[in-house]
Amino acid sequence: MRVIVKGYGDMKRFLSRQSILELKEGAKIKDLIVALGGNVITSKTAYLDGYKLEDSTMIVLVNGRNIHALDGYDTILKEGDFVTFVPVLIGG
Amino acid sequence: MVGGYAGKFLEIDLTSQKISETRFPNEILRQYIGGRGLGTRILWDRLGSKWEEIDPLGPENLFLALTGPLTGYFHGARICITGKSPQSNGIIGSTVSGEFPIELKCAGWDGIIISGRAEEPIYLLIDNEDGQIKNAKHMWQKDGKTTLRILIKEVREELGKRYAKHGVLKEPGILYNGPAGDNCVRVAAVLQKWSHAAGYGGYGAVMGSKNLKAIVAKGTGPLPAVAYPEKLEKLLEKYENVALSEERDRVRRWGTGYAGYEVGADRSSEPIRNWQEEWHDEKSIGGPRFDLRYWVKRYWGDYGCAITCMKLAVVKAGPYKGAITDNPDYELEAYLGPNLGVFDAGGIIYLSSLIDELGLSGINGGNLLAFTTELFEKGVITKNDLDGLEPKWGDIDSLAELAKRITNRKGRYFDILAEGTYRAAIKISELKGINVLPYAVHVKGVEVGAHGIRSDEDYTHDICYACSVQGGDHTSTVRDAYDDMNTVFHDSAVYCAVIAWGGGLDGLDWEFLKSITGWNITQEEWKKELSHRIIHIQRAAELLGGPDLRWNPSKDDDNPPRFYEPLPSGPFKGSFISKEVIEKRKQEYYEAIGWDKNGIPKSDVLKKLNLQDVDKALEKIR
Amino acid sequence: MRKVAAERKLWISRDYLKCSGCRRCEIACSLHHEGQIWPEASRIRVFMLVPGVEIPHFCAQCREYYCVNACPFEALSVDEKTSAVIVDKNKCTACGACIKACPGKIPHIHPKENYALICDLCKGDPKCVKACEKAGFNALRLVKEFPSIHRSLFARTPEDLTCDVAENLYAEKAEEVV
Repeated sequence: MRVIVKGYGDMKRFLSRQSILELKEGAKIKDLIVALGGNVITSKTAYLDGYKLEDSTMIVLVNGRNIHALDGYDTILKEGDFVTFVPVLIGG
Repeated sequence: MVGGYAGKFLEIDLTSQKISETRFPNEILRQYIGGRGLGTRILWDRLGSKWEEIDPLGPENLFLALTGPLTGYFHGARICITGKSPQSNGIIGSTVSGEFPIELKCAGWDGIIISGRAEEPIYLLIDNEDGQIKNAKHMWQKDGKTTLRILIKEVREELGKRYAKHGVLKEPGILYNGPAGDNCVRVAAVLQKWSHAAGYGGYGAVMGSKNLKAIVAKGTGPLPAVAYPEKLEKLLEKYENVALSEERDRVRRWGTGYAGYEVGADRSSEPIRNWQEEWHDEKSIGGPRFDLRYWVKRYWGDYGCAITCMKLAVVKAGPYKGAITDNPDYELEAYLGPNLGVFDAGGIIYLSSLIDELGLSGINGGNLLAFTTELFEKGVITKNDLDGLEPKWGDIDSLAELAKRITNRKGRYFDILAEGTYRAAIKISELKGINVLPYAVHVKGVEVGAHGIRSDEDYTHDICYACSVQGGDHTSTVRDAYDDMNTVFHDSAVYCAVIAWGGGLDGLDWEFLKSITGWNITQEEWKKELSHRIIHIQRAAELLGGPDLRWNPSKDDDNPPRFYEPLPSGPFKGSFISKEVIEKRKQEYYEAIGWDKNGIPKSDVLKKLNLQDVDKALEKIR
Repeated sequence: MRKVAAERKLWISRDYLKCSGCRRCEIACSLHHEGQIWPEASRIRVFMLVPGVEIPHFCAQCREYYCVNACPFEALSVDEKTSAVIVDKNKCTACGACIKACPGKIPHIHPKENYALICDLCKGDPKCVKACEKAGFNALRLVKEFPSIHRSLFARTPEDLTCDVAENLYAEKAEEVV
């Protein structure tokens, strides 16, 4: 199945602005991260090329929903899902 | 009493001059914490049943200044100002940094609740347990620096007599208004320390409408005891290590001032000439020019802060000699700089210090100045309308004069403009028979923070303002109804959020909450339940609105018209976020937060959170 | 009784222009001495009579020891090792004679208990200096030097110090704002 992946800020190193990724049926977010070259260590921590994806530095969204409000890295993906990686910037 | 809280709130009714104290049950404190959260609950409890009728500038509105359990212990003292907002007609939690909250808590108060209206200008003097109403006629209409000078001298003299045996006391903490607030200008801020302001929400106007010039507090006691004092000391050390870490070095050294160049040149999201463009390559707007020429203090901070990201800027030569401000905070750097076509660092410092003295919000007021300048540029308003004034991009003197005249409200058009960008746009459209709303860059009456959405490169994306209960407030943006809740926590526990930028806190602020209060509140509980109550009540207040305006989500959960115009320049030329994407993201957000397809909080969601009264009130607009 | 020291003694060297106003010195001091964050019970207090002009106000350990000599109850003494002023809580009656005697009005009475608060250099390991150094401000530094008459020049009131520093920071504008 295909999912759309979008990365902002630093994430553009791994993805062009918006890419389409081919994953097997029933794949989870952690499989997507592995497909991008990273690995998932615990239920709350994943690394992508040495870049730590923790809750407060990088937000991972599926169709606008934060994965930690769903099933974390075990969140199951469907055909056409839109996954976004947003680094936490904020500003004043 | 729960750790971290003084245990009581000071209640003052200015009409009857009655002063009393209020306590809230622990259950309420645990759910709403303090600051924005508790303020929202108080406002709803007392004004909710007739919300639409309450005039934000009338005696029935409340003015709240509330601390939270983390205030004073965690990083950078702040206090949250709220009430019914004269801008959005909803509830906005607007924070301002400074020592006032420390003095207040040491005096034995967690916050202040003010109702009614004084007959003549007054200020409040809180001396430990004692609260007094004092005459402020001699400060009324005086600018920020003069007001503060008079107050510090007067109060020190009085307290000096009362505490003569104790020796010299430190100066009191002071929250005050500039003349803009005195004149109920809707973009007036509530200030501390010359250049710190609670700008969003227009609460300076609420203070002014109550004839309240300032609130002064002196507390000689300790900060309230905490649940686990030994843990607190260890956590303070941990906090310092984070604050002084390498990742924080940039913000320590430059404040948010580096953003003046970066947000424009790199992220293409900086307001330029009323948001007509968002990209620039002006290298003098950024850190170094200010640092080398104007900064006399490179590390300036509030109580307890190890980051000390603020800077003290003084212009020592040239036409703007004598201008002093904390600068450049990015928002003012952009709004009183490129957004006004001003690319001169000294000029920006001057405008910034003028805005401080007038008591205007840099963001909301700066936006208003740019709006006016564009209308003048396009010939919609004339030199005649502005009593001979010709505001032009980059013309610092005319822009300064514009700010002064709006503050004084003298002249028909200045009086109209003093109502804020959106309301002025409606009125001017009516008077001129031309629709000028396309030039108003606001969301729900709140002028938008200096981070655009069109390039999609900044942290502000698509619906971040459109679906926020605080309108254009860039410190309360939304995305996923989960991570967004961090800002609600900052505003409710009340502490400065700078340390949270860039991540790496690893839940330290939550550890503080536990060690201070003893409560076992996890991030999950906050993000999935507690914060939602606050958001839903704020949403209800926002949608019920009134008396002069109310918002309709299908129309008003949206970006300003200008954000649909493709960017005209820079590497992201042509970029904007389409209506299609906005509609899709809106529905995603509504689902995530528990609102129906029309953006109204769902009945079952509200009932589950025990907000039956909110549910009932929303019936009339469902 | 005081005598001119023949050896180097501790002193907190102060650089007001570098003070950031973070007040972590106040927090460190009151946590150490009182076990709580207590601004007015801190022996070092950062005054800000004019925004931007932060003045850490605390004992100058001046050679003259005006306070010690003025105390009618012999509650004040000088620590031989550190040269700091030591207050005997049991003898102090909070009469305020030391405050009057100090040219800088530096001592102040504990807001709850009845005794004078004067910096005792934390027995030679001042916590305020640690806090300041950790953040790299260096507005407070611990030095060991022969006590000189120079020290008493720092026994000045907050108002007085504010006027000087304000002119340095604000030049001509200082007159208006102080």
